[in-house]
Amino acid sequence: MPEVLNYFLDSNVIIGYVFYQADHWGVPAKNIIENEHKKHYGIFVHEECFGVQWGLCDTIEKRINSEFGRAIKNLKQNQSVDFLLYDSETWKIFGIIKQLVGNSKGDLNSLESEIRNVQRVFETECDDRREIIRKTVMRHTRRLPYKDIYQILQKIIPDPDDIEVVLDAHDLGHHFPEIFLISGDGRHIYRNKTSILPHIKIKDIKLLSDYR
Amino acid sequence: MVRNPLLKYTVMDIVKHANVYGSKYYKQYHFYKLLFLVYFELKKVDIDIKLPYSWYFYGDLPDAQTFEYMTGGSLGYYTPGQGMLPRIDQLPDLGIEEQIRKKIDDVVKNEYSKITLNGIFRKNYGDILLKSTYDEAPFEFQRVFNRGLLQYVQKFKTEEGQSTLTVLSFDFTELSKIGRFLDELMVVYPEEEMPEIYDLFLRWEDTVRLTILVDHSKMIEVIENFWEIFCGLLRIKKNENVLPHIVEQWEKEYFSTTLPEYEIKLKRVRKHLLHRHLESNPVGKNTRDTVDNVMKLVRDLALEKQEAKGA
Repeated sequence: MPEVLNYFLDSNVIIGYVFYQADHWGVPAKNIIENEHKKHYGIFVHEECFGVQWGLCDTIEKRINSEFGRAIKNLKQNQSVDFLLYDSETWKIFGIIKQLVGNSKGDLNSLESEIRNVQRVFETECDDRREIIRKTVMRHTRRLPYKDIYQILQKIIPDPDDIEVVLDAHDLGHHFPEIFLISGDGRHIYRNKTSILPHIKIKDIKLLSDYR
Repeated sequence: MVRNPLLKYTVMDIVKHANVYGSKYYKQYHFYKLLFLVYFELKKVDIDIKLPYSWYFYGDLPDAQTFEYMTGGSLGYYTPGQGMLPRIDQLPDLGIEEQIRKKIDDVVKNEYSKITLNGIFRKNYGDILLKSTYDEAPFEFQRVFNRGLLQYVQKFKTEEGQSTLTVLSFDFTELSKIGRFLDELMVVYPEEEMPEIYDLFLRWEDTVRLTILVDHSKMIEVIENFWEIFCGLLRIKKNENVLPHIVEQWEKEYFSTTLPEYEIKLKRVRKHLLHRHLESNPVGKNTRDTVDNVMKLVRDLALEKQEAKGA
């Protein structure tokens, strides 16, 4: 039987999975989340991704869904593709709207219907993957501040949020000494791994792209 | 203690006339609507009785607590439906000038003249009152929703509730009519005055469209639940003369409990409907390509934001 490993995931792995796209980021994120190994994340990553007020996944998804809804309202109100293109110019989904308008060839009903289709599929797929994360990735709550290690890491890792993630993984490392920290960000944590690893209880720090 | 004699006098005047025309046919909502209409008409002749009310599920709703504070008496005492109407033969002057009392009497009589004929209430006087009240509603959205969509779909509800409806209860004509109400609601939603639940409204609208596509049995409940959530915010925004601490209490309850609970409820039913819809409607190639582009866009936005936070 293959050995079951423990992975501690950084938020960019979670983001890459929730908003899955079959590319250099999405494929490894999917490979990790949907494999047979044990996955964990810390409360810090959870808050960063799904926190009620500022969670990145939630706020961005809400914004995109809102823009789709406003696009439909705009069509209902003005009955005009030109108005829609004009009003949506500053929206995040402007490129998507342009693509949909092009596909609809001026048929407002089919444009509305396709905007709804795209929004519904987007929402459903994000929700489903979020559900998979909820079921398969264990949330770990660290209770200790590890002040001494924090001070050491401060000199190595410039972003304090990254330090919190590393400390969450370190805390879990006491239960699973063979744990791997996986991050999509090669610049802060991964680049300094040789300096970081001697101070924490993590077997290794891996890049998301290693799981392609 | 009577802090607001004008309000007390007007209420007693309305009840006195109700007895004349037949109190047995006089229901609570008739009283509330009439009181509001009299208040509204009196304002036109520069008499402000400071009726404490808010816009709510069925139009205006007097606030009982503020009423009691203002008049020293319970609104329930004058309200039919909670016992017999009190018999009022003689109105006290309550220290109000005769000229003002006469103006109030005239307005009350005039309002009754619109709903009575030959000394008795007209057959459809409840509808007349409701329509007249809704004519004064602050938002067109209320008229289209309450007097249009809600009234229309509730006709399909039996005494057992909507549980008797099946997955395909409505026919094409009925669904088209519901669709037109939704179109209209999209256009008239008061986005500037009620921005707090605008996105929720847009999600709700699409959810009703999903019930049309996959499960009619869920439709009425989805519609009724949104009306409640809309009215919960409406009464916070559109009220007059209600004691401030009462409005604060509504606000607190709405944003801490009512709204979050509703969001969970809507999410649950929407998820169920979306899955059913997508099960029977596989995603086509064009849609797939566009969704992939949306995913990439959103993922990159999230990563950018994350990077900016750490920079």
